[in-house]
Amino acid sequence: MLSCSRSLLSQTLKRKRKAKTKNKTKFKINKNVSRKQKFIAKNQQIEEEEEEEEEEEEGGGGFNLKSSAQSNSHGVQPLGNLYFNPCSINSRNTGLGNLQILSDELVLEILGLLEGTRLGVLATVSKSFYVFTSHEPLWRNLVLDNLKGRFLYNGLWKVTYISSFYPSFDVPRGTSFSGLRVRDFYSDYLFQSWLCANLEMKPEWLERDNIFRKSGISIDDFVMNFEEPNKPVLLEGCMDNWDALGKWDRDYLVNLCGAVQFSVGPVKMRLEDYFSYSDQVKEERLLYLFDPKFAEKVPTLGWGYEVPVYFREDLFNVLGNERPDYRWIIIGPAGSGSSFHIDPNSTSAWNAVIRGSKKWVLFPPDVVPPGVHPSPDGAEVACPVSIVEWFMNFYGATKNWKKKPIECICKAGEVIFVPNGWWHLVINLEESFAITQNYVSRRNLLNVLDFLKKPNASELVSGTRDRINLYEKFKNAIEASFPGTIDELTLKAEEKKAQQKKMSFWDSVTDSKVGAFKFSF
Amino acid sequence: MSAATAKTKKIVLRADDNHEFEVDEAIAMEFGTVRTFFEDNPDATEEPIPLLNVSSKCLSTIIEYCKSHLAFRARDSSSSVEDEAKAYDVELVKALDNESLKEMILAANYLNMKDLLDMLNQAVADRIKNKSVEYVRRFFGIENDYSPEEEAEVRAQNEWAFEGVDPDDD
Repeated sequence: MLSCSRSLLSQTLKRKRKAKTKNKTKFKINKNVSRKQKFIAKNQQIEEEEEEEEEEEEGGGGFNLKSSAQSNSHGVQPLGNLYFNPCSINSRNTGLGNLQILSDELVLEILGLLEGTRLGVLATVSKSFYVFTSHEPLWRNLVLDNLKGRFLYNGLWKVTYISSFYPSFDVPRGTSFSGLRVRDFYSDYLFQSWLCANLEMKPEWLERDNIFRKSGISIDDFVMNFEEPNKPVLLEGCMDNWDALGKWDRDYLVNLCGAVQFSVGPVKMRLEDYFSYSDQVKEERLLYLFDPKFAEKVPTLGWGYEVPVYFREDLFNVLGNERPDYRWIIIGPAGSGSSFHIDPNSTSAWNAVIRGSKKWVLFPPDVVPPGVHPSPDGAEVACPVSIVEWFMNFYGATKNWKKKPIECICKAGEVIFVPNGWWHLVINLEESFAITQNYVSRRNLLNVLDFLKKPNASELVSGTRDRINLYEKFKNAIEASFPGTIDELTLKAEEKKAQQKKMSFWDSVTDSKVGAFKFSF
Repeated sequence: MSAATAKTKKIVLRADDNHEFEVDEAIAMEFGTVRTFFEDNPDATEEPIPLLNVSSKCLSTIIEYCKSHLAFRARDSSSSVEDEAKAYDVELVKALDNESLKEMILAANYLNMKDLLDMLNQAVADRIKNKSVEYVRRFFGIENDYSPEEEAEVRAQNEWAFEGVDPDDD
């Protein structure tokens, strides 16, 4: 990945910190900044060491780069730096000629239409083209499009591409591939891209832990206090008899799974190859192993765990093999995860960490997380930023909100309950193995039926090829296996609604604030 | 709701030089930004819509593009109609010099018209495919800012890409 300017970073790296082992960069990022806005980076702060600590506390503060951050020598700087060098030209522009007026994203879109050899040739056109054509996501797309999951990751996507298609070419190997150093190249988009790929989670993003934690509660207790009122909870001690808990480590899984192909993003890969990728890679949006057929592919994996008692009522079972995807094995390195989303089909979920740890941020159904833009029909969720970028730009906003999110770190042996409709974001803090399942109990059966009934079901319903008919199928299957249940639940729900209406009427009548005399002296 | 009239509704679009273009509603709705605006302000159809970042020249070309593609779509989705539509695009792009092509890309981006943008981006990509480095530099007016040593180094790193490519093949 591109590094920030050598003049900025290397000086920072050399400086000894009092008690800090992490590298801090000297970029003050404006709050509410998005990728399209400008960064104001204080180049000159390097000289003012004394004021460093205080200055870092204002505004966005410093950033912690991973100690393994690549300082390869491309030298891209954020646009804000340009303002501190009044005589400076932006080599980005001179090197693009009359393409310079296009945004970085547009230039990259155009380059994304070209083949690898074209990009390689264009790298020699100018330094600007060199920087643009080195943009790793371009090469990642080329590798995935052409090789699908059959690639052997080799330090960088570009290097992976070259060594796959031009094996006789002697490519500099590993992440220390030192490219050309480019001076005076300013680009927010490319800089931000590098920054997010190399950022570590800041401690303050991990501090808040306000979820309920329960151990050994009864099923009734769970249903009454969490499932029914739709509240998240972290459950301890319900994985104690899981075979997986003691057994699943890398070696065991690789030996067990051999050449089986698992779903990783848009492709399928062998587990061993995936680990080879995840060990070496440094990028913003990591490929994540998320497979809904793991137990079918390797039955032993399915035997390694048991559905915790709280979640055993799963009404989608009535559909047998025709039920939508419902269980996934999740494997990924530190930094991988899922940005904000609501689980499909209005189901609830549980997620059990077998190894590693995950940071969770959850918002209730009626609170849209900052930076997230669901389309009006709910069919699409635009979360334009990556997970790290969300933390950088939006997490701070939640500090002052009344409706704070629920947050926690879920460690090995712990299970989190994600109630239906809740927004959630997850990031692995270290390499993690987990199992997750989505399910439907009587408590959210009606919700699910309503969801499946929606007119735009064909877009919204997920995990099955038979989207449009799922509603009918499911309803009929429930009626067949549990006759009268739907009617019973509907009745109960209507009673409850009526009661709530009644209550609020009485509330308003007895509420002394409403309509009563107000004396003021 | 505005009363439905027998005639199709017209919408006025104003380019950056204040030149106004009256188009059918269907055409205006092809413009992503305009469509979004109307979704949020359904009653604002009487006022001209200012498109501050689009020149008259671009706007008239884009309007023609929309008219033609709407007509193609209305016919059917057979492959022969598809071929006609593609041929139309090829002709449209051929007529654009680099400067105009670039302006059109910016306009399509601003107006949030994905199909048009994709097509135009592909046109730029096609213009730099299979061309020598020198040609690309001349074509886009790019200054070669490599020193001879640097250029040699980058060339060596990317030698694999030059296999079988005649360096100054125009």
